[in-house]
Amino acid sequence: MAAIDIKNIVKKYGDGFPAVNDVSIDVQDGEFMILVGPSGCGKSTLLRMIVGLEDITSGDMMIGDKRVNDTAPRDRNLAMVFQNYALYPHLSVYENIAFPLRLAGAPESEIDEKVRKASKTLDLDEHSERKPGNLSGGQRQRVAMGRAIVRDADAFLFDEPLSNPDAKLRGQMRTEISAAAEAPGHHHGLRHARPDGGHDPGATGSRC
Amino acid sequence: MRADGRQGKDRSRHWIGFIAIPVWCLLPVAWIVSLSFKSLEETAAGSPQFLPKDFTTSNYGEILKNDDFTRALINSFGIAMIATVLSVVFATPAAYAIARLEFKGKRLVLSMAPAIAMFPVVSLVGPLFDMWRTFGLFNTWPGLIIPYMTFTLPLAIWTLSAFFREIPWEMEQAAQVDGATSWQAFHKVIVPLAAPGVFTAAILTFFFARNEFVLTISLTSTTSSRTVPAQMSFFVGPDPFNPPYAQLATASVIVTIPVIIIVLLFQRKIVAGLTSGAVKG
Amino acid sequence: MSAVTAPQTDKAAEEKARAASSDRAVAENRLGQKLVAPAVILMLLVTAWPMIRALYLSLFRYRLTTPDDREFVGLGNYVTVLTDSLFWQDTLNTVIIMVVTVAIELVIGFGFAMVMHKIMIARGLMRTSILIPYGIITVVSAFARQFAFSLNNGFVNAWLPFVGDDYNWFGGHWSAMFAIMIAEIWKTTPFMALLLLAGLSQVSEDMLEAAEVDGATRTQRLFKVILPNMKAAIMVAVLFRALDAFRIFDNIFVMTRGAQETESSSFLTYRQVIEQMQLGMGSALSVLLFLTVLLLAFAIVKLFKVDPAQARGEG
Repeated sequence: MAAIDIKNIVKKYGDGFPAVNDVSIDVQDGEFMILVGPSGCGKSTLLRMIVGLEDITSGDMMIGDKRVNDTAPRDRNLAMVFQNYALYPHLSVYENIAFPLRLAGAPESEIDEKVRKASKTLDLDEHSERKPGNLSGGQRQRVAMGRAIVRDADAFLFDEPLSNPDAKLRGQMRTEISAAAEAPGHHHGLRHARPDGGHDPGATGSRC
Repeated sequence: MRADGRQGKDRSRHWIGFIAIPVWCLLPVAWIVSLSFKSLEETAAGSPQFLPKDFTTSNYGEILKNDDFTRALINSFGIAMIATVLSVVFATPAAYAIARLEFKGKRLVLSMAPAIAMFPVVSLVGPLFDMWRTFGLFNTWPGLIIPYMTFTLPLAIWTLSAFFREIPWEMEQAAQVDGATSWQAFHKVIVPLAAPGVFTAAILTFFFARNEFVLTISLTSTTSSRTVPAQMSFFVGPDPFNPPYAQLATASVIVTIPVIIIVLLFQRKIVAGLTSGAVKG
Repeated sequence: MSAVTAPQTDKAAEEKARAASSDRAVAENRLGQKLVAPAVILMLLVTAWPMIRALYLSLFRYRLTTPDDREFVGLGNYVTVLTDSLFWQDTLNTVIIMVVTVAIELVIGFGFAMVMHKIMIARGLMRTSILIPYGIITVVSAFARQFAFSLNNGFVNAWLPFVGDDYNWFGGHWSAMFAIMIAEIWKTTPFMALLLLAGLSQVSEDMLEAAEVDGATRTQRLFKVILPNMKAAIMVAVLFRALDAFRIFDNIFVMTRGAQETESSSFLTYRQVIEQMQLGMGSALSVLLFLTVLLLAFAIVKLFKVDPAQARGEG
């Protein structure tokens, strides 16, 4: 658990176009933050800079008290759910969720316990042995969530979690994200939604 | 997409590869070109350095005056071309059916094509050597074209069906809705869409047919049907470890020039043809 | 009344629709088979017919120089072949060449594919360079290599620091095999690289980023994400190349003519038929080679669960 402090972050691409221009955001430990804005305004870029997939041109990215500008994504201890879920097609639902734990070298008993718990929470237990290719859109999204929540990450990032067109599913996801955020030990979520997802009761909007 | 910092080390590694690929691929070609400019005297005396001591173009004049070689060029081109055309003619309807229609045995045909293409051609040499002499096909063009079909036809089916799968066939109906007759829809929409695929399959098939060596060395006996690879192996003479280097190198360069031209013109299509056949792309 | 008739017409329409669709399916089935028939028949004719003839000839002692002495010997030729150490030596050579070249091509080819995947500039140059070895005639490439390794006219000895200028590459079994394998690898790595590149381009960039966030190192991403997702492409490439390498003939014919015990199975078969005119024995070798390739293909398909048709998405 840690606060994220974004100080005067600038991202310029090769052609000098500033995708993110001097953004400062302070997210408290346990806070639930939503970024809202029109498409192309830099929400995704900002998320990718926080998680470490994009270089930062200038400014400071602080996680806890550490400056992480030059830290590799794997050393930042953040979890992220990608917009298109980015599941591993060659692994079963169970192994997809277990993947980060295996990489961290967790003992088998701990992996099993955590994966089972997450599968249960997300209502995936009966699909554990299936491959992502055979799942519905909503089930895939839940696997991606599961992969994020099994870790004791310092923060959880969701890229357009409500972009799924299915209205019923959207409601369900909203509940699940809240549940995940309220679960003990997971007091922190940074989330990024399209404007149409912004009428979530607890949403705080910020414009680019 | 990403700035330099994150992947600096990776990048330098890719740059090494960027240099290594052309060097690895082109060095032997450069070598054979260099050798073709060395004089016969130079290679006879032994010339282990890469570049020629005395640069000469006389080898080219010599080889183009060599009737055996020019005859082999004609045989190679003619035999490979006929085998290609026949293969494409037979493969096109088959590939169309595989790409567009559901029918029993489709998977069998699709598995059979690569299986036959991978067939050990040398196994045909014995029986064909025997049969062709009885049928009068030994040392003739058809005597080579027929067995060439064993690998050119499955190759053409495999490549063409992969191309045909990518064609947006709805366009045919769209054209009819737009007021085209069936013939116009086929002629003005489907043919232009399918033509590049057919052409690429033909190039790949042609490469294969022209490359063939086992059959041409076994089933020919004179220059009347000997193709380039067989004729070149005849230039070697009695001692395979001491061949006429410059002559062979020059012949090599001459037969490689068309390859380079075709590759330069159609590289993108050839890559698509080679890979779409194996992996859904 | 309408309440009663409505379901009936519905049912009738449904049945009619089903009948129509099955009629259509039957027609489609028939058309499909009609269109593939000529190609399939031709393929079988040119392949199966000589093969059956080979099977028949292999049961005779039949030498073309003395055709009248043709004599039925049953499986005699097979016994002779299978008890001859030359046959096993040549099979071993072929297997060694196949395993070594395919393994090295896999590594080099993957390196090429990675570079071509990442480098965005000069892609035309890359593609052209890689296609030239593919397009060049094998006999030509074999000559280029033989000359490069040759004692009097080759640059290899001069360029390699750890080899004396008078080293004869074709004077020993392993050095000659090495030269042959280099020629084979050079010629066919491009094909491997392109198949692997096609597989690589199907590994989604998002998934790699997800793995990065999940904590995977570069090596872990390669072995746990990239390679498992390219499995189909790798296996198809291995299958095609292994069977192709097993047929090796051109390079050996040009570079050594089988000297220094570098003969392959294909070369032995050729020599029996064409040079020795031993048609019966040669046919037995043909049949054995065919069976070996069949067995090899079957083993690779079963062992690695490759299905070329399925890898293409036609499953």
